[in-house]
Amino acid sequence: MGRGRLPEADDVTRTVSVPATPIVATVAACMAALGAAFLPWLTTGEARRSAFALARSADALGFIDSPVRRAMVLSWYLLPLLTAAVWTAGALRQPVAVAALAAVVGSMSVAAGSMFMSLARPGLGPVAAVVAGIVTLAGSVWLAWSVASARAATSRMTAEGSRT
Amino acid sequence: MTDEPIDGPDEPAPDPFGREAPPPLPADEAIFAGGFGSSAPSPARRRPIAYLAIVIGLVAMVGGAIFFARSAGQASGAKTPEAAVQRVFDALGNEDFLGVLEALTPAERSLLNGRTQTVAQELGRLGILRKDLDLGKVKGIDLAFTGLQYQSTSLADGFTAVEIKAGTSTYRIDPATSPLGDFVRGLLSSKAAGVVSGSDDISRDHPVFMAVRQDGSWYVSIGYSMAEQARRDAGAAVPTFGSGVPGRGAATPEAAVDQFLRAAGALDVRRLIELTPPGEAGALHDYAPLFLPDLEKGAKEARSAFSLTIKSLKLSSQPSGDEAVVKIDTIAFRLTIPGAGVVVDFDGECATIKGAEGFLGLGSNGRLCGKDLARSSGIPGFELKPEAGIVAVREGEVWYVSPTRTVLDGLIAILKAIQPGDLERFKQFFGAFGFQGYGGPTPRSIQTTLPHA
Repeated sequence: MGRGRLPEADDVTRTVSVPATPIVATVAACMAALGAAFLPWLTTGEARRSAFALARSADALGFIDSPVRRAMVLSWYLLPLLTAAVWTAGALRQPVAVAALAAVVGSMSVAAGSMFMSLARPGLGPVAAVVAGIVTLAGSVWLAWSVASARAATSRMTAEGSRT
Repeated sequence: MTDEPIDGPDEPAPDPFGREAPPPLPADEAIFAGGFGSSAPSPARRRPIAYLAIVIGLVAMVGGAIFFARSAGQASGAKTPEAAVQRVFDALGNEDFLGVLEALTPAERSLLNGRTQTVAQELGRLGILRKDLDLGKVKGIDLAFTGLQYQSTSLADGFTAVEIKAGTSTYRIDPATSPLGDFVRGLLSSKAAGVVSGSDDISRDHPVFMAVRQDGSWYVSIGYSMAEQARRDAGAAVPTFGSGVPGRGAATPEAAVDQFLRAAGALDVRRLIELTPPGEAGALHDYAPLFLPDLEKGAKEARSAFSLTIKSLKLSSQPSGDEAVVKIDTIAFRLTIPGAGVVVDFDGECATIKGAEGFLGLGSNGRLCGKDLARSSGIPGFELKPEAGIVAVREGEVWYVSPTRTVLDGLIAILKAIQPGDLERFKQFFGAFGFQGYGGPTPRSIQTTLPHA
């Protein structure tokens, strides 16, 4: 297929050009959210616990006593995998996947950070998680908007091409 | 399907949020992609760095999946008995109360968790500890453990005794910043206000910690450690773990407590042990054969000296998950002490005491009712009515009586019932007997009226 070929109908939904900046920013924000999870969330004595260590402690101390809480903790352990998936989707140039996964990561980060901040005296981690989560959510919205814009433009261009 | 991307649109796309759309980007700044399952640009157009990024991402995903699998299925214990004990010392050295709890067996952890915090809060309210005490950040006490060497002895599968063969503890306690509250500080002499520091050889007393394996992980058990230490001190043989006194609970919390009280009245030691939870009080069940014969012999002798018969017993419970607080609504019993010629009949409201008239402020008829019954001790604060009960726990759908939880909850209930003013009265009461070291009132200033009287 040559460069001058007009896209076919199903191509419109699948091939759009999206600026690199929102993807890079969203991936970076996701990584910041993951990094925030490894910051100190709770300090007891001289021991500092990351979000994951805290989740394990909460489980060990019997606070994870309902299926909903269990599901929340298990989903929290998915954060590194989800962040890696965001990175991979970005590397594979899949902005919709990046936006969708980043929205999940951002929501988790904001929810976990704000929940912990409301329960206990937080360390640096929860604050950073909320900030990084908000940035991630903003990045995913920006990316989604970019994809929508690009798709709309491509559709319009296709329609114009059909007319000519 | 195109092999080549269509570059950015000629016209700006409509903004879904009503904002001005960004200008079209040059082709080299745009990433060509679509939704899930979209066709990415031809691999031939990707730069090597893009491949590297993909590989890094895939490797990271594998790592993330491994992290999830490990975290989701990870037990909180240690990999070896020595590591379990080391965790305790690490946590103590870090003044990390949470870490100490995590190193304990799940049953003991659930027993202490929450209750410890409540006790600390109540002690803070009373001024025995600081009001703002945070168990996560205990100030004024610095501990360090160095050069710890362990010697492990496997006593049975899943039970290992870890003895400390060498090690030094270094401590520094600063009363000025320690968790002691105003009430206790008031009792301390000026000499006790200085910083205390030093070091000690902790292997001197041959301390032993028992590590117990549960779900493939090792935990330290306070109960087993105490039992093992006692066994070693007594020079008794190692018990057969898992073959001690079996747990035999009841179908309901009320039934468990009913049987427990009747067994206590009859001094039926074996039944009392059977009714304790095998998980939480596993050490008691396992080590019981070492001391049960002597205890039963002693109980038999005691039964000839007194008898307690429960005539009627009405209980009610408030279950919460696997715990239930059982309260005695009414109880009637007869206590007989033949040697002293004393017979106590309690009908639920009044106690009729025969053979001890004249004692304890009894009238000629030897009958005490209601407040008189409580006041007879003459100890200030005795009339406190703590909201306490007997705690039953469920293990494997069977209910048992937990003496430890009952004692801890009873302590909490008593602490909650005590007011700071009561402590002042206690201070005056004991000050009257020459207790020195505080700047309190002299015996001459003792209240002659008892509290609540």
